Amino acid sequence: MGGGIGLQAFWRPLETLLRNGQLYRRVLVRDIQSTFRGSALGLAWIVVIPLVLVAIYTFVFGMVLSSTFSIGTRTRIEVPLLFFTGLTVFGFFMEVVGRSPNFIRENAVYVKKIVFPLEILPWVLIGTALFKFAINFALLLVFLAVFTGGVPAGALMLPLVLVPFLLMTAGLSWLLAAVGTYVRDLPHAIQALAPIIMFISPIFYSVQQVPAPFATLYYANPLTFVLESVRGLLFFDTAPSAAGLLVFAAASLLVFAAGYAFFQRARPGFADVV
Amino acid sequence: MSSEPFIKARGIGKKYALYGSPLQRLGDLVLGTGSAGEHWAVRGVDLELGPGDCVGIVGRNGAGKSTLLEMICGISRPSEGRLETRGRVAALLQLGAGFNPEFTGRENVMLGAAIYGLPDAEIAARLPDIRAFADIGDYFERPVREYSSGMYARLAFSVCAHVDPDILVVDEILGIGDVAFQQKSMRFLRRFRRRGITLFVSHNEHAVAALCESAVWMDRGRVVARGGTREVLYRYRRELQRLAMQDARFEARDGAAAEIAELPVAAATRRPTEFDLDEPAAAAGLGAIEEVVVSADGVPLAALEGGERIGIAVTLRADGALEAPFVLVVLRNPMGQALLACDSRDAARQPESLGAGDRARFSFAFDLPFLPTGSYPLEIHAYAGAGEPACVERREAAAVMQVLSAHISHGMANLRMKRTLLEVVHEPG
Repeated sequence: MGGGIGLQAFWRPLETLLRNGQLYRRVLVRDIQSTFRGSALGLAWIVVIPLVLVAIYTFVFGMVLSSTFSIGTRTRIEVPLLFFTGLTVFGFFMEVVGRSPNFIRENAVYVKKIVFPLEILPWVLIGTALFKFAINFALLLVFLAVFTGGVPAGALMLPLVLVPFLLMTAGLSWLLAAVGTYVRDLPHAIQALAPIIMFISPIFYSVQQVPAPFATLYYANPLTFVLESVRGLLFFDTAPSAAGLLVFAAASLLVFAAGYAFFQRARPGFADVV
Repeated sequence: MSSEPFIKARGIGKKYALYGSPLQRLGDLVLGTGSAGEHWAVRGVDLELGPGDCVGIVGRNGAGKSTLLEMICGISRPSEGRLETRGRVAALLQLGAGFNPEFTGRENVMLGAAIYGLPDAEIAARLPDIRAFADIGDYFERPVREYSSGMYARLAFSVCAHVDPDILVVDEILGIGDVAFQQKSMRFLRRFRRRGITLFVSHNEHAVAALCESAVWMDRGRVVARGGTREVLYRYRRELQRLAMQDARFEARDGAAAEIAELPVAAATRRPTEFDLDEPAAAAGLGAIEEVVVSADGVPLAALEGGERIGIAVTLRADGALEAPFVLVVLRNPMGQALLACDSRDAARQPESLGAGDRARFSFAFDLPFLPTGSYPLEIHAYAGAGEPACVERREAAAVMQVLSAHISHGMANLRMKRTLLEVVHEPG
């Protein structure tokens, strides 16, 4: 099968981004704009949607079902903030994963009619999702500062979790984009799976509330580590273990490089199926 | 740095593997699980082009023209052979590829130019030129979805014309837009071909003949002929005609026409044809057109220019009693419009009636008008019946006249201008 895994396998997906920088920026801006072009609220929707979700989930889980995080929450306001944190992380992941399978077909023109570096398309998805993530995350930090009297110093460690998370999501995006181009069932399957992924990820609860035999299994879900670490750093003054960070970073890099390699191998056939 | 653009192709070919399902295709690409079969869309093509070369590529559907262009553009990679290109390639495979209807003309131009590889600074510098060339006024700042198709084509072509390509690959896009736009784009192409490399695919042979000095004829993925445009087009059309005739039930023969007397003017102006050429009354099965012989001053029908004396001889066989039979000849243009329709009732001698087994021969002669390049089918109808004529048999495209015009005038008639004179008129005072 060839194409052994050297350091290049990790560098290539970044190199194409640098080489096509100006084009990437234009396509990314276009993608962000086209999501809200023509709507009255425009970019405000990026903030409105998650806030509405937080409100409804807080009502359902916080008040109706009165679920609490097992690690004691200090103020009432922390529950919606914890939900908001989880939804922001999950939203980033799900936006990329949900859009990837259809994205090549949506941009069939780039495949068939013009010379275009197709491998930057998943980077476009990442860019758009990251843009929304950044806005929501900034909002979260502001809320934290206002309601809990400051952003904990642990926030400085967030990049150690979030950068590998981004790379892993990008790897998945290449993989799903390539497979989804050939298998038209994939977009539907992801749509069906989305709520399942949401509920089996510890967004509205902590993994510590999960019964023992399942808790270990939970860490097979990459979102678990990200959600637990981010919440730990922002709310509970707990840092992820060095071993955990290392394993997560290694796994992410592997998915990142493998996803890209898979995409590049599958790519010659795109023109025949879109 | 010497940066003369070039295209060098040595025996390039493109193989498409055939698969039962998209999943199988993915499996083969990633894991090498094998395919159900293979198909060579292009094979063994050599090309060597440099600045100033302008090549037209002709061929039937599925000949591999588009596949070849895709390889040269870099959209797909050759499966075999060596392909080297130098220079910025602008692929005009589809006008306005990548335009988003929600965005303004300006925004689409910015992205379009970036896709063609223009750096940001260059895009900004050329924006006024692109806007002026497109000539769509304030619509430039309006969303593209509000554009007419003509405005869309203008803007899209304007982008391509300003990205400074070295190699221009044009696939079948010049038929759209209004006349003014077509003129503008042809003017641009004519100017461009002097300095760059132009590859041009079109079903419109007129456009190929007008633009390219050399041509390549492809069939089933291979190059059949290459050389001067006129010669290649001539051979291509002759082959097309041969293929068309293979499918036909019989073949009109090229032959020598009998000399026939000219009709008196009065007879020729006698009356218009009183029945519908496109919906003639049903065939009665009383006879058959046995033979059609067409002559054109000894010129093959595949290489007419206009002005030739066309002779047509039609032999009609009667299987039953045919009263007052006559033959109608219709010359149609490529759009199917009747250019000429005349019947044998104008002849001095008319067969009164034919009995079973009788044959009658009807001869016609007319001068072929000067016409634009294209295929002109000749339709032969046979009728019988004095009052309401019924159609005995009707042969569509009994023969096809291929006109390859050397004229430079445009329009349906394509007359040769006899004289032009320039006089400077001074206004008094």
